[in-house]
Amino acid sequence: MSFKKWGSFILTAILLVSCRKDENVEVVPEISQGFYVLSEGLFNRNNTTLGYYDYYTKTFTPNIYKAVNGSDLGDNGTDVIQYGSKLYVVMSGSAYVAVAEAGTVKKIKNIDFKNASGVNKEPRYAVGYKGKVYVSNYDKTVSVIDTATLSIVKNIPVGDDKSESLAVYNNKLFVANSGFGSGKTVSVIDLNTDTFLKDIEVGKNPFNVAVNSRGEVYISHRSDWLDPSYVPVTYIIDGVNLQVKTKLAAAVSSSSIRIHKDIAYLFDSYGSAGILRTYNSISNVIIKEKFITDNTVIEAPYGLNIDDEKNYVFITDAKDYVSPGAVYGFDNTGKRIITLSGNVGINPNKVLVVTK
Amino acid sequence: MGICLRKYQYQLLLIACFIFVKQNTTIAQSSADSLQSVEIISKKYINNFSSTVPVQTMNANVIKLLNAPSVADISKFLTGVVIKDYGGLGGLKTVSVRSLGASHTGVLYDGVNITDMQNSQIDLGKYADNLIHHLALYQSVPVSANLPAQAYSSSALLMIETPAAGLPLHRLKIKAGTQWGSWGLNRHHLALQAPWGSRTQFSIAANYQNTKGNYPFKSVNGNVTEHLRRENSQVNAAQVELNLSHLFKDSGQLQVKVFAQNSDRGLPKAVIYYYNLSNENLWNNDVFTQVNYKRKFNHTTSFSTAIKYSNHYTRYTNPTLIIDNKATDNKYTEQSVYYTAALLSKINKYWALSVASDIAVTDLNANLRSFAYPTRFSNWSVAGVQYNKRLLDINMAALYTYMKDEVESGIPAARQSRLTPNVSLAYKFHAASPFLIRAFYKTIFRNPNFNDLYYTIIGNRALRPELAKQLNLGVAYQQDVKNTWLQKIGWSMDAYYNKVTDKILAMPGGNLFAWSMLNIGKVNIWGADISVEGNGKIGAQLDWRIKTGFNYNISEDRSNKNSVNYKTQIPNTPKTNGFAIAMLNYKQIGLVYNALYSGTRYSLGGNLPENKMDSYVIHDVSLNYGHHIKKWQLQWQFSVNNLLDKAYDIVMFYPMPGRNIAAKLVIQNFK
Repeated sequence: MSFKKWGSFILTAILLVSCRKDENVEVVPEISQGFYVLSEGLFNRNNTTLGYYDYYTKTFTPNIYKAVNGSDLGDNGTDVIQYGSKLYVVMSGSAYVAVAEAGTVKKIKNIDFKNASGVNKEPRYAVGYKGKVYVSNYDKTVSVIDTATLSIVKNIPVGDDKSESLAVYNNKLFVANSGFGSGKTVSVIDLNTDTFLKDIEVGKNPFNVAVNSRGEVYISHRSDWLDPSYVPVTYIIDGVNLQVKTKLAAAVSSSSIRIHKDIAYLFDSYGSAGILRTYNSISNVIIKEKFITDNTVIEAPYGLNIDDEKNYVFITDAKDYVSPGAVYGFDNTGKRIITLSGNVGINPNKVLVVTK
Repeated sequence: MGICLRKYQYQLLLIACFIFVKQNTTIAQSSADSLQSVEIISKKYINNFSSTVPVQTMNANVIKLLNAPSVADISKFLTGVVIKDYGGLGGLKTVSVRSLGASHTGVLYDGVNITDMQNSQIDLGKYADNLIHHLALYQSVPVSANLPAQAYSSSALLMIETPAAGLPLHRLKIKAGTQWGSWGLNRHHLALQAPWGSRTQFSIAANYQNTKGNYPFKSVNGNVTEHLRRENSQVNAAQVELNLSHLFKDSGQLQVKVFAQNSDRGLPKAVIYYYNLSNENLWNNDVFTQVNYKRKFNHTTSFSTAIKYSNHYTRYTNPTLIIDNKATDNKYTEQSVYYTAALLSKINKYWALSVASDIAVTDLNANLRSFAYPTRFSNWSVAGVQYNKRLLDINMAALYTYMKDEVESGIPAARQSRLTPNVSLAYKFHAASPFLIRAFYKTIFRNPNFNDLYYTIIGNRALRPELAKQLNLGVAYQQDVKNTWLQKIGWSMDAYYNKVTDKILAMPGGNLFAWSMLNIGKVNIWGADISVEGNGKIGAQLDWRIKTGFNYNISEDRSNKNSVNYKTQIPNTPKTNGFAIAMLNYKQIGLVYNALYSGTRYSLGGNLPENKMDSYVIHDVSLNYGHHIKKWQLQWQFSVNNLLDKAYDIVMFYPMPGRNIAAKLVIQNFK
């Protein structure tokens, strides 16, 4: 082989190699009408992904965050919300909240969630209200992000550690403090002053917080893994006088709850595969024992979100919790109309419908 | 959604794994050890090319040139072995042989099992190379040895031997060494062997190592590359062994061994994007003592017996993992008393019988809430028959295992009582043939360990044992050649089929959000091991020697037809891997080159591109120089590891060290 031939051979090889590198780059779609899917991935594996499904093109971009920004989100993303024109992705393992433009997913800022000694606060869930985003943490605080400056302006102490889900009603923030099984409180924060107001005692391991139009705050509970005999039930707090009003029967209670237009969606993330019940939170009757009316089998329901406009109910399936999950969209009769499977991340936990 | 618990359980599981693995390592070896080692001096070590069962060996002459600081690092140069290595010196390292999983690898330290009832995996990163004289990794079990019955209870058996306590010893032997290397590495060892009268000898050996281990690495997240240093990978560890041996006039041999080990290690965390803090720590304190007696009655019968007590203490701390408002600080103590007796008797020219029976009582204590405090009573009994007539060699043995647990809270696991067989045969076509054909079949199981059964929340007391079946067919070749340039050559090829059923895996299930251990795994494994060794001379003074091994395997997950993992290669298991060691000696100068190769692996099941881990080849070189000063022999070594500074992980997000150097001096008296 002549020198020239060698040269072109080498060049070709280099080109091939560089082409190979580009193989994995996703095409970035334009975001119009559709929804994001957050998959938390696995602990210690930096494989949280934010995907995007477009209603019109019916295509799913599994990791739009990386496609747009060139790098991955990191470890254990537990929540994503849209507030105003921005997305807030809560990265519990990587100790920050990623802020991105909702219309493009372009990164704006990473808000650090480490304490003064550099320890991860382990942010968990977020809710936006009156120009602020409130984030529950595992370190006995709720952080307040000013959405104008995109920085934490306050850390409000709450009653117990390992706070999980939160919800707003009547200018108050309700935070479930799971204590990792041993917590027994829901903390109430006054949103006029961003100060801790009181703790309301509930059962062990409160988890989800959901509110209906009557101001009833539903608190779902999870089991205590050191005490298998504990039977968790759902508590209902009066959102005005801030007292426990009543409890749901154990047979109706579930570990996860969402309320949408006064219909409560009740499901168990683990154990009782696929059962999703609907419950009228005003008349207090079960609407449907099985919401899903077709033959869709959900191995491990993990997240549930609703498209307000279209009335679609999205359920994410974590399957065996270590391999790629799936997302199913149902119409309000419980028939599956959207299926994302095969290229969804591990442990998909939230579907967030894009609002313009 | 509600992942937190799951995440924590996962984290706990991880912790559990760390702890357990680390904790156990220690050794249980009392009895056989002394016996064995006495025997060793007189016996010639078997090699893979003449052995009736496949065996990979590594002797002290090679070990000292490899610059592999622990038994785990040395094991990387054994065919068919996959090491789980979280990086750095002294880190957690476990060994899986032929894709069966680390729990199926048994470890004998000077002839007695090191056991870990808590975790069932032995952390071989804890055993320093400086105290090792010989390593042998057997598939199935060694033939015609007077072994404890427990040695039959694992799929593969790693036999670690410390320097033979030779009898009789005529003079004081002294050996001391020191090594200094990158990132604060310093290791020192000292060994003394002293005669005490004509029939007794005393020896002491100690090793100390310390390192910061803060090596640099690159964290690449798409278009963001960070240059970081490994944090919290410091190690401070010491090991001491005392041996006393006595040769009776009736040829009986008695050996007493006391072993103590103490280590304080940081557990470097996985590399997490945007968050580096790593502050988990692990302490181990292992002590055991064993007394071993062995005697031959006439020329046909040999008897050996041993008793051992061991105590393994483990403490794990994680100041940022807060549970019940307390930082995690877990302490575990596993204690065990073990007794074995073995008899090997030749009935006639061709037939021999062997029997051995062991009993052990092991208990585990921990400062955990809702802990079960398990105690396990074990009995292993084996009966075997050996037939050896000229060209044919047949071995058959049946192992009976009985295990019963008691717990202080709840219901203990069901009693286990099982009989498992193993058969091996070897054949030569004629006496002078360099070829040997060999085959074995073995069924064995690993009983669920204390973690599998009783670990708070995760444990499942209804677990069944995990079964492993092995079938092996191989050919070995060994020839002395008349040429000077090639004096000896040996090679072997063994093909195998293994099947693991009822594999114990952690899975979500059972009660609400709790992960639990379940017998849900199935793995089918086809593979082949190839080994080649040769040595010779080039010219009058240049000696060369090559040792190389290669493994190919398909290890398929057959657990669940509906899973993406079905029929894909199991995680962290390359389809191809191998090594090569080449040595050149010219007068007092030696040059050693070794390479380790691992094919592509996947960090999770399903073989998805995002979990792919690239193949790598790691090259090491070392230069040795030996000379004498008066009565002292000095051996200098300068080594460069990972010469090409290859960035690689063995466990995903646990980066391995890049190029590093070390210098070593060993002094010993020779007169």
